[in-house]
Amino acid sequence: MERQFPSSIGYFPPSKGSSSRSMRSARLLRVARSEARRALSSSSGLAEENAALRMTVAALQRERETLLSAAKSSGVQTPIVSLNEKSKFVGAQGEFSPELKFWYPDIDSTPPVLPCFRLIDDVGLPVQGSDAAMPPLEQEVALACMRTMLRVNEFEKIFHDAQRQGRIPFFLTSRGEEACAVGSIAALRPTDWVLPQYREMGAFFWRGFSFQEVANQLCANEKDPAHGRQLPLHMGSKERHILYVKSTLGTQCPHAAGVAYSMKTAGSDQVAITYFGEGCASEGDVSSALNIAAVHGCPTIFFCRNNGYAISTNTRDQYVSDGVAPRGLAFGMPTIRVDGNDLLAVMAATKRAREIATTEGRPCLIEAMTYRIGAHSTSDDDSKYRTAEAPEAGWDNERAYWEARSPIIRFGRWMQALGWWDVAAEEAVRKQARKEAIASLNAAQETARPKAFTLFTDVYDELPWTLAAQHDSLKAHLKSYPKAYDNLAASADL
Amino acid sequence: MLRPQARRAIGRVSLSRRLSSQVPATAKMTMFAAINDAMRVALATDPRAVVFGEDVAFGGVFRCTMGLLEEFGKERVLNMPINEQGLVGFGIGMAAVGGTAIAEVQFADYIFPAMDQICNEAAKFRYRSGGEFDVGGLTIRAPANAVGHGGHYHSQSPEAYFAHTPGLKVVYPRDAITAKGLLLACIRDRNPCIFFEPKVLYRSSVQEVPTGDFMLPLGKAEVLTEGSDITLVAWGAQVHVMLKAAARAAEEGISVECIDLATILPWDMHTIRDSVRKTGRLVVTHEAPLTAGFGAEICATIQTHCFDSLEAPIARVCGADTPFPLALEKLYLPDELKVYDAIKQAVSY
Ligand SMILES: Cc1ncc(C[n+]2csc(CCOP(=O)(O)OP(=O)(O)O)c2C)c(N)n1
Ligand SMILES: [Mg+2]
Repeated sequence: MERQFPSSIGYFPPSKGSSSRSMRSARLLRVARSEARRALSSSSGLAEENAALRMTVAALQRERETLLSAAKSSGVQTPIVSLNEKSKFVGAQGEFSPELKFWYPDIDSTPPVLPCFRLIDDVGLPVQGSDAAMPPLEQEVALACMRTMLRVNEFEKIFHDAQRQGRIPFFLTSRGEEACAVGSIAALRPTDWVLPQYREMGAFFWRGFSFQEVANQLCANEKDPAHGRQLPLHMGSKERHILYVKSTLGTQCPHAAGVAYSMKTAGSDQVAITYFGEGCASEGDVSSALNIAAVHGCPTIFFCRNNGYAISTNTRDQYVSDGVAPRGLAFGMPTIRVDGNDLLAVMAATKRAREIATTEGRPCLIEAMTYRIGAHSTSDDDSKYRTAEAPEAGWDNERAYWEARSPIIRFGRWMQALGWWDVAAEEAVRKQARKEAIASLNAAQETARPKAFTLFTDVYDELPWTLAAQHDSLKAHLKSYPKAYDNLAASADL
Repeated sequence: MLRPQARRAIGRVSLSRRLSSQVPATAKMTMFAAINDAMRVALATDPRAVVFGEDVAFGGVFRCTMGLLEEFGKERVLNMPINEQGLVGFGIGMAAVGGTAIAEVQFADYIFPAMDQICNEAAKFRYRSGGEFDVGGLTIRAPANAVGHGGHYHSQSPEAYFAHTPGLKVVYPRDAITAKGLLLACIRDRNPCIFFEPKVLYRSSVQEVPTGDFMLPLGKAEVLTEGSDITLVAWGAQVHVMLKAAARAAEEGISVECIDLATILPWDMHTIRDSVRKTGRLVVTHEAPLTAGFGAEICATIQTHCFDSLEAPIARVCGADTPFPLALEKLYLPDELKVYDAIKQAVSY
């Protein structure tokens, strides 16, 4: 039977001039140990083994006393008299401690309250010390980011109003959070996989979705490649490497671990990014995803948009931890918190995350702090729950405070300082976007509904007999009642 | 039209009104207000009752928990982090030690993350402990059924999944009165109950609902209209489709007996059996997909018990075997016309 011996039996706080003493102690310790080991290896029966063990313990104790008194007489600080060795438990290996102590995350700062990485301040000026991390951003790319954020903003305004007028059944905006999607997607390669939540319009536009394509989905017309089957905003595209949005919170996160793992096994350096809200982060799927991705080294970027609210629920009722970021640390992955209203910081952090994912073969967590300016969706009345007070004096309310710190304003000021941007440029982009959005809405509404047969396709790769029968009976039904479904479908559609 | 129970309740009401005119024993309520009222009664009469779910503190996305936090305090009306398996599991724990847990799952479509907690835990708690423990104090409310524009994840009717799990009770109200009476019965029933609320009726069903403590029996179907030619069975929002189809058939002289099943599990076989023995024909209609929907269970059992009385094959008019669509919802649904057509076919068989 092999026995492991502690690698140290006492911990001396380092003090000046103690090096020779500690060397001597180490020598003494080695002697004691080898004595014990000899005694143990020569034993045969159980009784001998016990005797050998007793000798070992006695030898260790003698040694400790020698060390203690040596330390005392030479005026070294009293050593901590614990057997301060490292634990060898299979599950975790920290140091042993005799201290009966529950670690309080809020009192002991374990893990520490994470700083929030930012490169520009609330008025768009570079913060001190930001040079090193500032992403090398060409004017052209900066302009593309700005244009995309503005186009998101204008497009969303038009379709939000369209919902209000009853022209589409549902909508929600990413107002105030535009930099999260745009800054992160711009830091990735066009073939990196995207697994969105539902508030990432910027990612779709950046990847080349036209207004008309999105409008067709929103209006559920026959040009929607998913045949108008899903709620507005539930879109995707294989060509653009975006998996479809769905409403079921959190389910995309384990998918993102699997997507990234699969890319890795295929020998590709594509990564996966998945977006999720701080509310969604409470779903079991999200914790599962973080753990699985960490255990299996998936090159996944977990991007949490922490916008302060999940429908009506303030983050106060969502978690009592220091935001969502500590969960990344808890699952053993590199983690950063960023100012999500600072496009440059989001971009820099995502670039670095991609590097880590590909070169170190492990997932990363980015928690982007932002604020949901709009209501949750068009089905929601945020006046019933939104905090009234601004976080600082001098502002009408919480919403106004954050609206003034919107990523478009901040990034615009930063660009303006470089001479890349001005009010006129912004107005021109907005005007053009508005025009295009209205045109896309009108065109989408004039386009016919999906054909009736699409009710039955894509359930399976091939139509099973059950669906074939249901198809036929619907066709017969429409034939028997040709007037009743006139505005919807004709039996000829089937 | 009123069910006999409500008629009885209102009968009592008018009696007490005659005795003391100050106490109105019914009040005009929407279905969401009636549900709110049932929970208010539960919280007021049971100090260990707790209401919880996502966004319930501000009143819930369908306004069913409005005012409860203000009235009963934040220890009895809890916002939950977004985590369905967690919140249902929490309710199971409460109920296992004698608490009354009234959980809201924001949409029936989001009940699936809690499937394990419901089907492996709640449903088996009593059986696996020889009756030593049970979670009868657990009720899970979830908005279900189509709403006209809900798409895949705001429209489903998942009752059949749970009907396949012995140990659960599965209940569907059809209007404000049944919502109040059946919900309070679920909360007090000594078995874990899933209460599916037809979301399309939250605002549209407005009735004189008995105020105060008011329960309706679980496990009882209700004959809504008596008839002699054919029996129709539905539950939830589909009851109203059934009634319209029956009215259309009645114009042609067909006498239809309409039954609201109300409790899916354990279901009231006897009421349907007796009806079908009388009419000789049966059409079952539900929004959920046809295959393995709860209609299949009804058809199989009824044909065993009524084989000799049947004059036409039992028919089902159900949702298609597809995910719930958006643009083509109207084609997917078993609408009035499809039910009417099935009635005609059965009668002319
Ligand atoms: C599994 C599941 N449960 C509940 C819901 C209902 N729901 C839709 S969005 C939402 C809030 C999500 O908040 P958060 O993740 O913070 O994202 P945000 O809307 O703030 O962008 C909830 C509860 C859902 N879609 N899926
Ligand atoms: Mg949020």
